[in-house]
Amino acid sequence: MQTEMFLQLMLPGFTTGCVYALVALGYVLCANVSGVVNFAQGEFVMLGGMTAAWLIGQDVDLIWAIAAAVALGAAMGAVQEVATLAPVRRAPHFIQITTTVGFAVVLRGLTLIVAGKDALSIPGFSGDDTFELAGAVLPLQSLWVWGATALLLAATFGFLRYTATGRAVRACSINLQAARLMGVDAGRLRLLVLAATGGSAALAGVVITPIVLASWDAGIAYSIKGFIGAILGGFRSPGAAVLGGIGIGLVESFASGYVSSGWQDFIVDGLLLAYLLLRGGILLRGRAAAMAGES
Amino acid sequence: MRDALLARRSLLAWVVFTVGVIAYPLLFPGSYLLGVGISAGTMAVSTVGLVLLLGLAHQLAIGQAAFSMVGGYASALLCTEAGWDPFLAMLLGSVVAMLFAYVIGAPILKLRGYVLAMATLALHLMLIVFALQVGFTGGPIGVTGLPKFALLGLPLGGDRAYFYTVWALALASVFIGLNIDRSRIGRALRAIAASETAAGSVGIDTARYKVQMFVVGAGMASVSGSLVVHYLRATDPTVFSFNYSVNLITATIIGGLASVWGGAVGASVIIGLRELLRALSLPLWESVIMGALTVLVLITLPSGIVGLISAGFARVVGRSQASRVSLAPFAPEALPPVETRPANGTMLEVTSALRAFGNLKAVNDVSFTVQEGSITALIGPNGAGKTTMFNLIGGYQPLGAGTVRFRGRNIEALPPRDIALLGMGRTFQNLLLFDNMTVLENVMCGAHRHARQGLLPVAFGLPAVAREEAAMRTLAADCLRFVGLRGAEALLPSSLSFGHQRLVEIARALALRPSLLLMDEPASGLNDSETELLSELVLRIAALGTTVLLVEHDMRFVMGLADHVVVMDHGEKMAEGSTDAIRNDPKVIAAYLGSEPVSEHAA
Amino acid sequence: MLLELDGLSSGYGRFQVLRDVSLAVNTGEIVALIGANGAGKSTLLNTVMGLVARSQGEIRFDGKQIAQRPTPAIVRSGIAQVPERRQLFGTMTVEENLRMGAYACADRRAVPRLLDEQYARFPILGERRRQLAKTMSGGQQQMVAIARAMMSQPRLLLLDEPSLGLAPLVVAQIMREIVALRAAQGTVLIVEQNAHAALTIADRGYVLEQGRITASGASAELLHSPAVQDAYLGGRAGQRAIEGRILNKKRAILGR
Repeated sequence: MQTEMFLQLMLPGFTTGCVYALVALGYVLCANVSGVVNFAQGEFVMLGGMTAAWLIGQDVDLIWAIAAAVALGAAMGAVQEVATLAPVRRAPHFIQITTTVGFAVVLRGLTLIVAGKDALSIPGFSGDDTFELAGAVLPLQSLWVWGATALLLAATFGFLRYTATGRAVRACSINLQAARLMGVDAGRLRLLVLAATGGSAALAGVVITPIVLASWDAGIAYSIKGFIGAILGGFRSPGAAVLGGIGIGLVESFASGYVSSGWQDFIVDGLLLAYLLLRGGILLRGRAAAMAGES
Repeated sequence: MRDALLARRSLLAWVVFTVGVIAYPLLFPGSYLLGVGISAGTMAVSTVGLVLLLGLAHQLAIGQAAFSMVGGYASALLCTEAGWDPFLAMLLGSVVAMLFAYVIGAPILKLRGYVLAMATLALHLMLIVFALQVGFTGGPIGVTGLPKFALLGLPLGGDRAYFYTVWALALASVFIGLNIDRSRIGRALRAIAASETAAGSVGIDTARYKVQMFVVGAGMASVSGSLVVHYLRATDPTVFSFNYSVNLITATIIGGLASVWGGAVGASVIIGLRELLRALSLPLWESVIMGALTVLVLITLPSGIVGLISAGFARVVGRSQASRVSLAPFAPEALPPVETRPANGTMLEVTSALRAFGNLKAVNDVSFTVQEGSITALIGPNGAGKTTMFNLIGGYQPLGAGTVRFRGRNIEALPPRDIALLGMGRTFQNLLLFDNMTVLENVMCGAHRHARQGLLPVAFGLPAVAREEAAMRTLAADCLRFVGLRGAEALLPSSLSFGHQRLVEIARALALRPSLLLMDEPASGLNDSETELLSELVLRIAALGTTVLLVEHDMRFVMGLADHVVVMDHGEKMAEGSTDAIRNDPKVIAAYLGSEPVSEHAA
Repeated sequence: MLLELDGLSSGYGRFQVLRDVSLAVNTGEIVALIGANGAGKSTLLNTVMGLVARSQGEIRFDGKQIAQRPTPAIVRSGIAQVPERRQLFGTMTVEENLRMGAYACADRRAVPRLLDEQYARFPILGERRRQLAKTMSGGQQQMVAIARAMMSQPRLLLLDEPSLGLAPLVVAQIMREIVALRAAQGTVLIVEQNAHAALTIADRGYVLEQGRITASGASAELLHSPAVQDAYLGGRAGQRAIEGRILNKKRAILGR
């Protein structure tokens, strides 16, 4: 009985955690290649879900709706880099981050105008049935989420590890000057990474929408939870970011089940706050404190 | 000169705003327009706080609505449940908000900048859940039936009275904001923004001032929240939303990121814009337009409306005066001797210092002493570890092992600012001047540690603060006279030649009144005559009683000046002694040139 | 002439490091550029690579102007730099570092052959190809850096202080490798503070002092000339005069 409840909470938590993991991964990749924490990361998830849902509401076929959503996500990522990040490349850090906030707000706002205030949904890709796994009952769509996540993660890690361009992305994050000496065009790589993370996040948004409704203001929740995942990995390690994202999904689910669904956001956000307070307060003293402040 | 310009501009702004505020309800007496004016005023209280936080402290706080919520709910609950006077409730709310800000800010502001943004957002979301779930806050319905605002019994709830109240508080915020902006706290924050490293070298406590701005911003946001709530006569969890925070940021940026008056201007513009959109039946467009404006302004006009005017002024002034900068002979009498408590002869003692990166030992078991009142040079080929050694002494890098004693105190665990406060000054090889301030202000930053007045006296503009400012200004002017730089006070450092900029940096370090001055390759980038002048300056500094430790490659400089030379190579100390001993040491010659010594050239 | 610098001045804003520098490197030569630190040696190499903006003068590679071109284009035209302090991608393996060196290579199929060439040249790298670069010793890291640069099959190799931070025995080994390189590739410009090591392997040399060329010639001459020592230890007559004046001022102001 206990294990059933545990699994009944863990598996859906794992499912939403997959989305957070992708957002977290996006944060880390963007940060490594452009030095900026991209607040708009979660908005791409929202954008993907809302686009697909809206198109399906307009009687577009599922497959085209998905394709359009992913394409839009990638396009918005590219637009963000070209129109809002590249121009402020040399500005102080906090200005660059603020432009990402501005861009996130624009995405939210545009979605609001086009699709309205109501939450939208998509029917499950294989129908809205459920299946059973070790005593827990899950929507079939979960399999799509797990599958899409696995695919995206495999593609990302494969890209980073085995392709020349992926290696160049990693090189930029390790030593930008040396990478330039190798002939790496950092600007083009940034564009690539932003577009790719935008598209992946959008895909994640599409597959999760049959389970969790999409709405114009859902982006913030994804942004903040993905951020928690990324920061647990120190914002450097893609692998740790993925684990962190999944972890947050699990925590959220357990909080909702064992404590109360109303308080789940409180607990998750409280975790972030507590973690940051500990990192800054107790573990930093003297010279380490002074040095940690330098970005 | 710049101060006179600033003062005149500020006076103009005060006049314009005061007249505007007084006239507004007379010109637009209708309830709707008064309401718009009230909204603008309440937002202005917050935006001023955000200017201090975002513009001065460079902290992106996207959760300011959290603190407005604290103020709003505090006012709502205390006034309806406990019958408190609205003004007192507002005060208590702001105290609570400031406490929150301190508890969160103090640890988190030691971490990287963007972290605070997310932390405040997390707090905001947590507070929203709290307000929804907990009974006494009224849940989703919130609190209704608030009394109108009153000040200790005096009713101020009527539209016109409330308008004046709100704008009185907004202008009070501006007053506080301007006081902070113009004080040494404002300078300290600008210094941190320009170069955190250099700010540390003059004893500025980065985290502390950032926390202070965070707290002030929170307090102002809280007051603003109380004012909103008293206008609505109600509150619920949706009043202070994410959009609220975003609008604040947009207002701050449009008005002028680093301008306190810009905060008031920006708030008015944003509220006006919002109302315009509503009038055009496009309320849904608010988000998009705010976001787009934020991005656009940041890209094209980062200093906003107000900043545009300021920059124009500064550039005009700068251009006409650049040609009037000249070098006068050093005025050694301009500064009194430095008092160094007798440190039994030893100013600095480095013992078995070690700094390693994995296998590579950048500094390996190095020991040497620097005698009080001496000029000591640290030399060695490239890669020898001299800069690392400097950084270990100054607190910029941690030691793996060993100790550093400065005036008898162990400093190896201290960060640069604490070491600066103990009397160690520093200049940097690649010049770390604060290019967002005038030359005089740069040097005044050096004097930072001599002032005592903290945030509260500064915020309220107490006379003691003005006295301290005058003293710092005098000291800074004296330092500039000492180094012989004339006519540069009101200019930005970037309009000076490289050699003159070096002098400014030295003047800044002198303003610290250091007992030990670390100079990192001071002669680099200077031509022959500048190098000679610099050597005389170093001698005059030593004559003041300041001990000098310098890293240098220019051998003429070193051999002429130094009393004592320490030679490093491959991270280790290879020789130590007088200039003659070092000059003729074959090991030293080999280290510089390679394995075979080259024959000595007779003068 | 493979590389020609003509009246080149460059620096960082108001901090002009190089002043009116002219030098030439001919195909098949090893040319040494020596000088004390702060003289501008690294700045010169970085200007050639397009990382530092030049303010005046020309840079010609194989007759073509390259001064304002972006770095990737310069790399593709056949210049590679082994940066100061190696600048390896520490958390990548040796092999990944080498592969990065071939990034600008148009023909991806040549990469395995190029890798084999480097492993043949530096067998120790072949043994440790899967090891993280940062775990290698200083000398081995220098080999990785050189091999990485060689992967782009450059016609001109720029070496920035390869002896930096290395023990004398290791320095000798690295220098031997560089001489062997010349046999294979052709042209090397080596910038060094260690004058002896550099001039021993070079054909010609230039002395850089405070951003200006103050001496040049066949390396054998330079090696035994006073010009070199003066550049480092300030022995020249004019410089002694400055030192003397400073000493006099010291006596006057401080009384010692």
